[in-house]
Amino acid sequence: MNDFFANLFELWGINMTEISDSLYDYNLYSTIGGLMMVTCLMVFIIYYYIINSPDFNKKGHWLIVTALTGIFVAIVSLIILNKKFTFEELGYLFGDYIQFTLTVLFFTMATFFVFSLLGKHWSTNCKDTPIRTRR
Amino acid sequence: MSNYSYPKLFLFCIGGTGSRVLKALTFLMAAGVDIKASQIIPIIIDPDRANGDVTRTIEILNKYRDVRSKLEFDRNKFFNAEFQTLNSLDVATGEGKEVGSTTAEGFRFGIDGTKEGRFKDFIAFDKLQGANRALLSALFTEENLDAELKAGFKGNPHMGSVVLNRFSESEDFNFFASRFSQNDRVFIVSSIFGGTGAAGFPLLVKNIRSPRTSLRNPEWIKNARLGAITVKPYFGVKQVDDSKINSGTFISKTKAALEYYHSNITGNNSLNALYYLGDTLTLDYNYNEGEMGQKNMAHLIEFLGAMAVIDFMGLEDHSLVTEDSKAINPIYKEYGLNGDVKTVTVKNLGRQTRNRVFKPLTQYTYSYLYWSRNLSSFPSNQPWTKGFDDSFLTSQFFDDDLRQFNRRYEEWLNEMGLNERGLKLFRLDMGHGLLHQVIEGIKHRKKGLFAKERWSFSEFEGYLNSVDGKVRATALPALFMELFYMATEKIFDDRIPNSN
Repeated sequence: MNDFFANLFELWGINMTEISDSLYDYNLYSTIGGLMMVTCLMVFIIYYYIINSPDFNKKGHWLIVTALTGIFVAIVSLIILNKKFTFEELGYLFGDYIQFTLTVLFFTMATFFVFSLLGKHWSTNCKDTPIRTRR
Repeated sequence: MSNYSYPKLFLFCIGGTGSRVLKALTFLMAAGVDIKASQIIPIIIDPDRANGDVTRTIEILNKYRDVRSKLEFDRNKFFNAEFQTLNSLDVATGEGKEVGSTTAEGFRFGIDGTKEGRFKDFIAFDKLQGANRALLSALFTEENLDAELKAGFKGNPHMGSVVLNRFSESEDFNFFASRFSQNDRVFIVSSIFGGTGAAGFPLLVKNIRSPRTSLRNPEWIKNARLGAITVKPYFGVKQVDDSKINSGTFISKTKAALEYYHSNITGNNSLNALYYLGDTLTLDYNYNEGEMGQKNMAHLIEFLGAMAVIDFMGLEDHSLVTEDSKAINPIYKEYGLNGDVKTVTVKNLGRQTRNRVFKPLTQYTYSYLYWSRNLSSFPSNQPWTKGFDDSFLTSQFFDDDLRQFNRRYEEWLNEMGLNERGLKLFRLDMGHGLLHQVIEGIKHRKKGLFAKERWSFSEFEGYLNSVDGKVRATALPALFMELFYMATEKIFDDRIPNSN
């Protein structure tokens, strides 16, 4: 699992930074990847099947939910890796943290988008959010 | 059960009251109230060619048919009943004269010699001499003799009975007979206190029970399952100096007519079922002598008249047996309200009436409110709008047919609410978030996490979304109507308590 998320977050080598090795060595890719998947799944279920509201099914609403999910996962990831690196007494540049956090933000939003496309069809009020894919 | 297993209903609507009852029936049918008739064939008999009530009713019927022609009825019941014109029917099987054409114009029955001319021309008064002329001068005033027939009988049944007696000889009656099948039913709507209805009703009954043998199906006609409603006074007329219609005579006319009916209609078992309606609480309408000016406000009595038609069609065949032109065990009915109130709400209607109309009317009214108050464009975020775009709102179906029909529907509801005795089933002036207050006198169920009674068009969208995917209609108008029928059915089942 760590390999899978490492490949994903590093974009198969394109998105390598100073902290990439440490993230891999301390299994942080799988921790953060797991956090991302579980959070996206939970928010997806809450948005599409619990709130499931005709008042909250516009593109704009979905974008807000997606952005908030991404920001939440990115911040929690930042806290996790900062705590770990501080504990291990590893010092990295602030820019490396930011690059990784933005990567997490992007992949969280992308994951939520994929979940939305795959699972929206059974929602009564949000089956056409964010885009109508039915013929 | 398919509607086609039911008999046809030939619905004779005589005079202004007949047309107004027909109008009420049309709106009930639009709402999807169940009637056990495969087809309803309204036949309007009113020589007053410009009568506002008649023209308005015909306009509504035509719009109804326009809307209905684009719908499907797999799951939708709005506009389910089929109204047909007499001249659109195929000839029924049976012996007798072949009749292939009619002068009937749409829903209006043609009576020879009434399109123009005066009453004196109709009876050839100027050609009479001696005793005959003197007799007719004694029976009819100068005003009667000079009256234009195309303006109706202005509350003079003695004129009406002369003119309408020509009825049975008309090609149209012959045409009706040729389209009448053995199990079809006939219902006659008329008032007892005016001119046209009071005169036409007994003549029509007589001609059905004793048909000319030259008609195509005389045996079927004379033993037809025949019902009628005779409407006693339920409104007054404000008097002006030269009034030709005096509501002060309504009661005495009614008594005289009832006496006549006792001998010639009820007394000889001519009808299988007769419904009596009337009211002591009345509103005086502005005076007019018919034509364009006669456009009376809709009234509870007309609504109940339409219910009588539905009730008659629900009666079992074995309770409407006729032998040799005589009804066996005829049925007589009156209507009783649940409370002597000035404004009737759904709670004052009898249980059977409520069971028949409350749900469909509520469904249609909520649909109408959505269309008229909330649908300025299709919200693309709502799943139920898939397939629709805003051009639908300017289409012939929505803009010309449905919107125009509904304009009359709202007018009908409002007029009934303002009349005396009023019938106020719904409040149409509720705001966006107050749909729980639309039905007069009914508290809705509390729903949701916070147990709210209040609901709005947002929840309505939710109901529409919830039935999206269950609709089967293919054409857009049919799909649109089916969506609203199914959504409002769910709203009713979900939010309106059964015990109310």
